[in-house]
Amino acid sequence: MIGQILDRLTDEVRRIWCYRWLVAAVTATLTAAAVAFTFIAPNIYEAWGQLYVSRQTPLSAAAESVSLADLRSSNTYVVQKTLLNDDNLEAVARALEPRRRFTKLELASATIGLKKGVHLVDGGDGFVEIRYTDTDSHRAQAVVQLILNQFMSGSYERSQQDLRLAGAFLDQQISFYGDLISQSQAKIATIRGRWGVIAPDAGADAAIAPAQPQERAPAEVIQLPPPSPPARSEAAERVSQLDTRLASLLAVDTEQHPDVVAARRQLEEARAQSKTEVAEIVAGPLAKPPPAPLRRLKVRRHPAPPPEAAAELAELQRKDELLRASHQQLVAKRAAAQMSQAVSGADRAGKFLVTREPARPTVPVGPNRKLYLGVGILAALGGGLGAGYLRALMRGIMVSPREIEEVFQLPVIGTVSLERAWRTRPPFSGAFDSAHPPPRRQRRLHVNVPVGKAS
Amino acid sequence: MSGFSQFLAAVAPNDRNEVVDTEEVQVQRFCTREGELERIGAVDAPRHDEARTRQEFRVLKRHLIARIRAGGRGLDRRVILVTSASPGEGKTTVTLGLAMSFMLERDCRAVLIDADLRTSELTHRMKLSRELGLLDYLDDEGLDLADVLYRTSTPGIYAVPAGQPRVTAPELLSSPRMGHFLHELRLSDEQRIAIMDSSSVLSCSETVALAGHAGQILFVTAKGETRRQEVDEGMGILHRGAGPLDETRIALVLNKADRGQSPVRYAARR
Repeated sequence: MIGQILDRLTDEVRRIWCYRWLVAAVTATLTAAAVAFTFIAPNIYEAWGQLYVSRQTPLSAAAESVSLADLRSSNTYVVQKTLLNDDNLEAVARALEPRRRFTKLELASATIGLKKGVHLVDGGDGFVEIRYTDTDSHRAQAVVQLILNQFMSGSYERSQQDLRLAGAFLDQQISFYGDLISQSQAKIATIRGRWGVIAPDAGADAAIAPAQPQERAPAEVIQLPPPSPPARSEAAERVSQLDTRLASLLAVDTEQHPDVVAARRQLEEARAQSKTEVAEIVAGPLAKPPPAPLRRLKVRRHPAPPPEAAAELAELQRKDELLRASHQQLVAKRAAAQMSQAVSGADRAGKFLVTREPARPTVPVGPNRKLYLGVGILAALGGGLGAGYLRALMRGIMVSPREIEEVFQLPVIGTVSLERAWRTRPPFSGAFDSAHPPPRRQRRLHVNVPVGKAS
Repeated sequence: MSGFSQFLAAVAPNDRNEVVDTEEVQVQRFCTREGELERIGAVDAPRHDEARTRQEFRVLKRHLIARIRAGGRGLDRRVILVTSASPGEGKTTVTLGLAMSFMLERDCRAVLIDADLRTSELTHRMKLSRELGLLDYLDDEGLDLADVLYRTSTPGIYAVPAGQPRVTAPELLSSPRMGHFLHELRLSDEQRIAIMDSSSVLSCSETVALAGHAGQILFVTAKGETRRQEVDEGMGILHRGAGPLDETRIALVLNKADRGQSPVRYAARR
């Protein structure tokens, strides 16, 4: 198998060898062209500038854990999309040649040329290098500088717009959550207004009340007045008011806001006062501490809420806490957005920051003439071999007995090889001197005499 | 010193006495015209590696002799036509080399017939351009075989030059007298092998007529030069005009081959 492959390969080499002069000519021509191109090609200069791109944009920060879109694109991608758009590049092309009037086609061509020449390199940690290669070092520097300028001027506007969008978005979300909290507070206040302040253990008692009917019996024995709608005390009213006020404050401010802190402190005091009042009411009719069964009556001072109401209240409170937490996060983000907008507006620094201004390159980065030369020579050799092989295929020449036998199904009974005489040693050098031929009579008997010459 | 002289010196033993004796024997055996010994033909062969080339022609010769001995019906296997599809593929060289090789066989003489009327390369190489030849014989009923049969400088090899060119050359080669010529040649000596150097098949029509007289056809192809399509066409022409051609009657030779393609891989140089 390998032998057959080698034979075939050898035949192909022979086929090419038959056109070795064509191969040599094509190779020489292509090599000359490659050499000429390599040494005529002008130097290529590369100018570059560096940007710092913040990953945390106002919009992404605002939309964190809210938006479903992937806002974690790489810096290079972001810059490429925002920087290398046609509008920017057209502006750069116009700025490069301000006196020239571009047609649409020329402008498109210039834009494409700029787009091809600009390379963005992600340097990591938010740094992006903008590189531009050109045969003119001045032009390379100017292009990078213009791109950076164009980019920075646009980025400020974009940043401000982002901040505005982020603020609007956050305001909308905060308002929405505020409404939800208000509704939740209203529901809680309604339940509390109906059933009074339900102590945490009251709910528990209410929950276990149906399971312990015998524990309620002693209360009925002492003939308590029939249940009536609970009379709300001043402290309870104040607690409810403070609760509502605190909720309204939290709708617009954070937990650290002085008003919120003060409202929370007042609420704690009101709750404590309410507890004290309840304790006094319970302790009033009985001059001494009631015995253990009677102590339960203080809870029964207000009618025990039904279990459904207690459960609903607990659920409302839980939801309320969640809403408040989300609301707090949104408020914090809005504060950060406002701060960013203020900072950005103060120093006109947006999302992007130029960390290296482009300098005029003095050392060419290309072309790699050695590489070009090597590749050119290899390509020339390949082209020459390909031309020879193609020529052989087109002519349909035959190069081996095996091939001839396969084609014509006839025996090849022998070959005659072509060996030039310079490779061999002349067997009879000097035996015959054409300048002094032997006598005519002798030639007749001599084996090696060309008689025709004499005649 | 000419290339052929080197080649010949390598092919034939360079013993002068032996050559003289052989020539005398040949003179007695072949009825050449009296006084024609002065006109010894000389052929020029390309400069080759003599040892290798000699062995390669020996291989060719062995195949042809085997076919001759195998015999067959119809045409005489001793009449060998050397042809090719297109010019310049080495017909004359193969003809000469075969003749040199047959010369070394005992009781075997080779007659070179130059039937290539386009170039008459063999005639030119043998410096017999002005002599009477095959066309003269075919055209003139009064001429005899001995009138056109020449000795060469190589013993055992005789030559029939092409003769003076004529417009009617293709018709003459296709005439019955051509068959008579070959018959007479065969009758004169049973050990004689006629090797006809013809034109290429795709360049003239008389080659097909000659192929009709040949018991063996040696189709020469040149490595890297002969086109497959041309060989195919040439084979088709021969098959239609002088067929049927089978592997017992026609064989191919690859000329201008590389040393690595030679059946003689380890020939010594001399």
